[in-house]
Amino acid sequence: MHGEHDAMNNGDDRVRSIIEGIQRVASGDFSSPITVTGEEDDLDAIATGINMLTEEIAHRDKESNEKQEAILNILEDVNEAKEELEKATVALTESEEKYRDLVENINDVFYATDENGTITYISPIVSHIMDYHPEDIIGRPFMEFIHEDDLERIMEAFTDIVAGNLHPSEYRVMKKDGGYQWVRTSSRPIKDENGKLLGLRGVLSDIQEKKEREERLEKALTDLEKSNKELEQFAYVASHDLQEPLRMVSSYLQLLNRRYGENLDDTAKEFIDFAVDGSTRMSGLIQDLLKFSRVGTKGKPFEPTEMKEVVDTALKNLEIAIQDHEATVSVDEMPVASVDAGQMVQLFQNLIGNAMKFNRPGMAPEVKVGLGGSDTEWEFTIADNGIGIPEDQLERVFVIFQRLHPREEYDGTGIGLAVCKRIVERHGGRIWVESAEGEGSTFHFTIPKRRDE
Amino acid sequence: MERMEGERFKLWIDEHGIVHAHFKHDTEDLAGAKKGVEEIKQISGGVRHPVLVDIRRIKKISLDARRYYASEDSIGAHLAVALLAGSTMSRMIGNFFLGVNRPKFPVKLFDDESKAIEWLKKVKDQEA
Repeated sequence: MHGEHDAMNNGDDRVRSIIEGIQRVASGDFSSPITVTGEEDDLDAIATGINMLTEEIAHRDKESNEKQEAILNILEDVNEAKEELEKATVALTESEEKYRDLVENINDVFYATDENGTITYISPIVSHIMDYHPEDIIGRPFMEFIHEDDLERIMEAFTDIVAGNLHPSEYRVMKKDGGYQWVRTSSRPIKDENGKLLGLRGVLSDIQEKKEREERLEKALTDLEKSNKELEQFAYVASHDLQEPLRMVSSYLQLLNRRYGENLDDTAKEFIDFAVDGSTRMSGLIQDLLKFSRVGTKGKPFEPTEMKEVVDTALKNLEIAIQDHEATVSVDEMPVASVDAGQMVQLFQNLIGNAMKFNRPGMAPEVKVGLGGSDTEWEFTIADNGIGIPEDQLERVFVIFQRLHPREEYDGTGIGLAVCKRIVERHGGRIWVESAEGEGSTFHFTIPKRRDE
Repeated sequence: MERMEGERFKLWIDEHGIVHAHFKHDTEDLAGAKKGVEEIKQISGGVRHPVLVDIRRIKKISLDARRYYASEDSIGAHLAVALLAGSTMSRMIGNFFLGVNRPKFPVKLFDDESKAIEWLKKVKDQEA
C-alpha cells in the first residue's frame, strides 16, 4: 500500500514535471527538456514526445529567425542596390542629357538607320542643313533624300561600308524646298553578335561652302588654263605675224640708208641707225617671245632620254662660247629621264650659257653639272663661279623680260630663265636658284622619275 | 543469408531481398545516424533494397539524427523503410519521424514484423 502510494506520488511528480515543461515551452523557454525517467512507460513516451516537439519548435524558431534575418539582409541589400541603381540612373540621365546636348547642339548631324536604310534617328540640327525637322525625316528611307545623279555611287559606297570598308562619302541631299545641299557622311555598320546587319550610324556634315569653294577653284583653274592657252596662241600668232612687217621696216630703213645716205646729214643717218637698232632688238624680242610660247604650243612628247647626250648636245652648241671664255665644265653621271629632249637641250644650254655670260671679270668660268634627287624625282644642278645674284633678286630672275643688268653690260632680252621655268614646269618639275652676290650661283631643277601618263 | 555486424546496426538480407537493420543502441545522434546509413548502404552493395528498421530498442534520437535519416543522403540507401516499433516510446519516436520529419521516401510504422515484411515485399514488387 505504501509502495503504491509512493508510486502514485512519483507519478504525480512526473505529471507535474511534464506540465511544468509544457509551460516552459509555452513561455518560449526551449532550453530545459522534461526529464525522462527511463521507465519506458507512457509518461516517458509523453515526455520524450514533448521533448522532441520542443526541439523541433526551437529549431524551426531558430530557422525562422535565421530566415527572417536573411530576408532582412536581402532587403537591406536590395535597398542598397536600389540606392546604387538610383544613383546610377541619375548619373546615366545626366550623361544622356550631356550626350543629347552634345549631339543636338553641335553642327554635325547624327543619324541612325535600320537594316533597310530607313532613318530611325536624326539629330534636330538637321533642320539647319536640310530645313526638315527630324519628325519629317524619321521613318523615311535615307536614299529618298539623295540626288539621283549621286544615288548609284552612294549605294555602292554604302554597300562598301556595310562590308567594313569605312570611308566618308560626299553627295547632295534634297532640302525641304526641293533644292540640293552638299553633305559629307561618315557611317559605320551596326551588327549583332552573329554579324547580322542592324543598321548604320553616322555623322552628316554640311560641306556646301567647301564644295562651292572647290567649284570656284576648279572653274578658276580651267579659266586660267584656257586663258594661258589663248595667251600662248596669241603670243605665237602675234609674234609670228609681227615678224614680217618688222622685217619690212628694217629692210626699208637699210634701203633708205643705202640709196639716199649721201643726201642725208649725219643726224639723219644716226636716226636711221637708231631705228634699225630698235627694229633689230624688237625682232630679237619677238624671236624670244616665239621661243617662250613654243614651249607650251610646240612641245614634243616625253620620251626616255639619255640626259648625258642632252648635256653633251648643249655643250656642243656652246662650244665657241666655252672656248672664248676658256671655261671648264664638269658633268656628273647623268640618268635616263622621260623628257622632251629638244627642250632639255635648250634648258641646259640656257643655264650653262648664263654661267659663261655672267662670269666674273678676269676669272675663267667653272661650271659643274650635278645630279641628286629623291625616290620620286631627279634633281639637276648647274653651279658656276660667276657674279652671283643679289638675294632680293632671286625670285625675279625667272620672270619674263626681267633684266637684272643694263643692256650695255649684258646683252639679251631677259627671257632665257623664263623659258627655262616654262620648260621645267611643262615637265612637272620645279626650278630655283641659290646664290650670293659675287660668289656664284647654283640653279636647281627637278624632273619626276615616273609619269602617270 | 548475408549478415553484417555494424557499429550502429545488426544487419542481414533475407530471402525476399529485404534488409533487416536492428538498432544496437538505445540512443542515436548525428554521427551515429551517418554511420548507420553507411552500414545499410554497405550491406545493400550499391543496390537499393527495402529496409526494415527495428526501432524497438530506441529511447532517444536527436533532432540532427532524425533529420539526417529523413534527408536526401539516406534516400540512396533504400527503396522504402518499414519502422518496427514495440513500446509506446518507440511508437512515439516512429510516429514523430513519420509526421514531423516527413522523409521523402516510402515509410510506414508497424507493430507486427510480418506485416512490415509483407508491405516491403509489395513495395519491392511494385518497384520491379
